[in-house]
Amino acid sequence: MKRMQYCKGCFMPSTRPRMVINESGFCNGCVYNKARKEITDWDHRKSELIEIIRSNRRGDSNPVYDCVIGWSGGKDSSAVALTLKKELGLNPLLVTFAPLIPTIEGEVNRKSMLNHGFDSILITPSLKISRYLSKRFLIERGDPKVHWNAGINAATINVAAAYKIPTVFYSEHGESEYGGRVLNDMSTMERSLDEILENQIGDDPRNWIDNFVSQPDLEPYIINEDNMSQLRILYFAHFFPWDVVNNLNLVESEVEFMRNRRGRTYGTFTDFDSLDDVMDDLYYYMQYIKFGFGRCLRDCARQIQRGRMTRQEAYSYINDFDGELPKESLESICSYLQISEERLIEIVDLHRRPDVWDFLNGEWQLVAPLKTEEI
Amino acid sequence: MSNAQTQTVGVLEVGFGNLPSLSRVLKQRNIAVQEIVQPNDLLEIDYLILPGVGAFNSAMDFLDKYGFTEVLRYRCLEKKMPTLGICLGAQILLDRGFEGEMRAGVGIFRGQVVDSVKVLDVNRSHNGWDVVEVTKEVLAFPNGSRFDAYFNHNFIFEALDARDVCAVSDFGGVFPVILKKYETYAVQFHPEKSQLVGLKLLEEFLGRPYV
Amino acid sequence: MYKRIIGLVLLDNSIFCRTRNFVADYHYINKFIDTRYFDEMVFIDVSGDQAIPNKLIFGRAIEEVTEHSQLPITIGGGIRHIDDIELFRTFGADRYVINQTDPESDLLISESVRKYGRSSVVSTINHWGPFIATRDCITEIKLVDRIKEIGINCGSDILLNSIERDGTLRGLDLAVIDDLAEISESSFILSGGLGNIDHLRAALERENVVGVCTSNVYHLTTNTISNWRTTLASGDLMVRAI
Repeated sequence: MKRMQYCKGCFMPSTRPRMVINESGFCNGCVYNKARKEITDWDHRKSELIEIIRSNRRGDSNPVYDCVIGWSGGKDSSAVALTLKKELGLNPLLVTFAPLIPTIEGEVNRKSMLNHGFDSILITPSLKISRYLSKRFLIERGDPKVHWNAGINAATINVAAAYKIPTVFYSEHGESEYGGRVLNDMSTMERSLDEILENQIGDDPRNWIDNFVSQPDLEPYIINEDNMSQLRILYFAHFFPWDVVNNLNLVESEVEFMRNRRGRTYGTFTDFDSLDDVMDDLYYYMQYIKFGFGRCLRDCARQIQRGRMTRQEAYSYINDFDGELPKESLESICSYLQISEERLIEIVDLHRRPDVWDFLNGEWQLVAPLKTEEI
Repeated sequence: MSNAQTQTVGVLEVGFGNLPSLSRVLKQRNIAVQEIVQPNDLLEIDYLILPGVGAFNSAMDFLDKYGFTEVLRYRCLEKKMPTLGICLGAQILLDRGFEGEMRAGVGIFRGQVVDSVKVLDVNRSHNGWDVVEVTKEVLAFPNGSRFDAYFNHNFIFEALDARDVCAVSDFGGVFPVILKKYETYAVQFHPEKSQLVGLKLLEEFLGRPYV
Repeated sequence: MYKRIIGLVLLDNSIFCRTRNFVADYHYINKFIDTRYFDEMVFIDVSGDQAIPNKLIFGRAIEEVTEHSQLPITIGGGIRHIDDIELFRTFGADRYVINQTDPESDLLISESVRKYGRSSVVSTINHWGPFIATRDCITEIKLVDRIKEIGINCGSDILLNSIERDGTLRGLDLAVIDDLAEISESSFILSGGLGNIDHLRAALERENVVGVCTSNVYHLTTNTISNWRTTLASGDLMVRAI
């Protein structure tokens, strides 16, 4: 079996789906970010964006809202909202697809932005169906948020179509930024249906019909192609420099932003990222189980790529925090999924790949853990 | 759920069969396989399965050469011991085959094996799942019942004694797919690849209730 | 005869994977593959590793997945010589997939058909739209011409692998199958691009399509397939109700 390989730049491992490590040992995320540093035409891109938004408008376009933003209340999507408002004078409608298990931080941070002066729509799907799908996908796919990924896409598209708002923004194109598959030349600028189905969800939501779930139950998750054809879905990060720390600074300077009340988020060194859903703790833990890298390695990779962290520092954080079990979150997660903690751990362990994990001396160990020689 | 009782069945593979896949399924049902090595073994074993995929003539070359043919006839026609031929292993139980030149079979069932393309209104081999219609009660499948089974063959039975025919299929024409005489069964489809219905057939053949 | 819904399990050094344009891009555990609702299982080794140790772990992975199933099993990947078939037979293969994209393989096909019978052989041809293709390039040779050239020197089914559609979830390549209906009487199995039940139905409605493969890791689990099957079986299509 192929041995797990770590990127010589950011440590991201070859097990990440769609990751490619080149002959020099660098991942496609690092290659992309290096090229991004060479970009100097931000003014031009900003003008391009203004032109796209202008030309997107039709006679019957919504006269009040200029765009829809997929918004969690987190630092990234809030930074997008604040920037588009401040620098382009746009009036965005913020669309949230309800987190599975809302957090206080998420609610406080969304409220802060509403206090600042934004309008938003919150779409909350049936809990009965969401919980069922979450459990099904945790078991079958090792991911309790597959349907949520479908929902956030469907929500923005459906609201934008319903309100005749022809432009939708997401923060950044994950596949290019963090190492994945770039489908075509337009992919770093615009999100297509292919991108949603293949890279975001990995399946067509219409396939989720079974004895418990009917087609109408899937309405919040199904991507309506007719609706989509009326819009353009753009990545903010194509038109503006993208940096998660700058995003945090911007948001904290403009609104009351609550960081993780616990202090450090489970499994990483940060306290400011992905705070709106308790289920994210399990989601990122499953990433560690399935691919051998967790939230910490992912966060460190981003910092390394931005020149904010050395590999030595990153190694130390990864050693300390990567793959940390989110103990205090288990109770609410188990309560949501309606399973015991024992059963949850049982399910979790079923997803350990034999080329990533060994069971030795009564415990699970990475076959190829990150070693000091790799720094 | 499988039958808890362990049993051993004799298997004589004809052609380039699928003994590994048959063995795997038998093992799921707690049935051990004893491979038949010499003709006398055929009379020692209570239950015998003849699986096979490939060519009629090569199969008969093998059976004739090693002296299995006559002992098989004796087992099936005189001793009337339980015997199940599957696919090619079923076809060789008829009087003769017409794959190229005419070749004598073991001769348990009156009739011959012919190329489906010559007698049916089809230009493709019968490869895939198809409906089996039971015309005479057999192996606990009642008369008039229907079930789905997996087929993979180009040649078909032409049975000359209608009393032997227990089930048929229709693929460009109706032809027999289960024959029975005494305790010998010739089954054209693959019970070991026909999921639950196939398991039921195998268990019934072995005289065990299907659970 | 029923049309077939076929589970296509791709194994990369024995790790179950999904491909996009034939490049393995998502690796996963095989514990959730449920064979119960399929008509046939096809296992293909996509690693390109011809060494015996790799083939043996490939065989073990197949045994794990088929431990509780009683279905026809087709195995392929790297069959270059008639002896490779014998090894796959020990893994429980009923049929063998042999890549017949390149004319050099025609001799192996006829040898295999002669030795094992046409019903035991599945020819597979890789294409990008109307052209023959490999993972690394799209040729100028037309698929219809290659099919004409092959004639009856092929397995009982021809598995058409659309490299273009592979991993896209946007639908199978039906344009080629309609072209082929005019020039060939062979029966075809389609693979590449199956995303939802509408794609499946549209393909199985074609007279010359006898089966469709799905290799998406998420489609090989229980609920998706059993629901597809129930829905299709209740309509006009000849699909087995399980």
